Amino acid sequence: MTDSDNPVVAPPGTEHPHPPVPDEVPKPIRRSKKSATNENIEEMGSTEVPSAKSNVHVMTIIGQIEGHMVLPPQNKTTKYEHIMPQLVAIEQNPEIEGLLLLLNTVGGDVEAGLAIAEMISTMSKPSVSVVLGGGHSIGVPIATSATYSFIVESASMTIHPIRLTGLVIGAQSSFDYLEKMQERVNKFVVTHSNVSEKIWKEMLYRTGELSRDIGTSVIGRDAVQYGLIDAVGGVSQALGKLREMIKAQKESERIKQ
Amino acid sequence: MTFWTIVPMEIVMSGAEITPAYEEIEYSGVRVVVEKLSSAECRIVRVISTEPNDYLRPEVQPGKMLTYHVGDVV
Repeated sequence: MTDSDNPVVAPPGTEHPHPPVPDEVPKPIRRSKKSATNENIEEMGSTEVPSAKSNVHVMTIIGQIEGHMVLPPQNKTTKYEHIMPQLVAIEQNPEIEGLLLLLNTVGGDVEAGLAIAEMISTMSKPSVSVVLGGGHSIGVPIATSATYSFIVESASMTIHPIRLTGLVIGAQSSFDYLEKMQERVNKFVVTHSNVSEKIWKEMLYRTGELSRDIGTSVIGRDAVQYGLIDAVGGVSQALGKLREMIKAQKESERIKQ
Repeated sequence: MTFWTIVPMEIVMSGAEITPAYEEIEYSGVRVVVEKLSSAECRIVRVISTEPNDYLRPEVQPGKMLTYHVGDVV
């Protein structure tokens, strides 16, 4: 008997006598066999499909920095438990030569933010951060943690003290604790940027600038003037600087050898 | 745990009473924590691995949706 060339209808007698028996534990598979492009558009709303491998990795620090507690789902979050091992992979992968950090964050967990900032600042590979939109509260130390930092003209950074929010008991010891937390952030920012401790603290406790809080909101060029950020610039400046630093690092390694 | 953010806490915490259903599964050779959304769908929330490069793999990035297919070939 010749095989039927009809692609839709199976020849009679060749259908499965029994439907496939379901597995006990269902195994997840990819949603469909669509191309990666389609999947990207559908799931992430993005059309970006990298065609060639880049020697630079991009990390986006967006929304709330999520720490020890899972935040309710309406928050967009940056998950530190994923970012940290990713940074390790970036550090040890020989194909990756630099890290570009894109920041648009409203703040978040102090310890998670500091952890990310410390990891970035202790990497041997060059890193450049770009503050777009906003880099508020704990976003400030993350922005300064990169080897070189940029801010776009329109971006703003809110500098305000760490406050008693959420489930904290208001006793003297908790104030002392907050002060210590604040001191950790202060130290990090002062050592990783050009801002002096005096100016930083002045910005932190300034009154009359923010409507709901004490503190300062610095925009674009001002952040550079205060020494918080290294330069005003966007994507091309950041990538240019990163390439320059990668080249310099390669050369210094060659000299060492 | 201390939050330092410009977003008011009541906005950050709204909806906190809903506890998501998490489950640990093996997917494409990596252990992942998924959030069950329905009996047929789940979303990756976390990768558990000691291999750093697993955290760079696009198919297991958090946020990726997975569908349970009974009896399907993986």
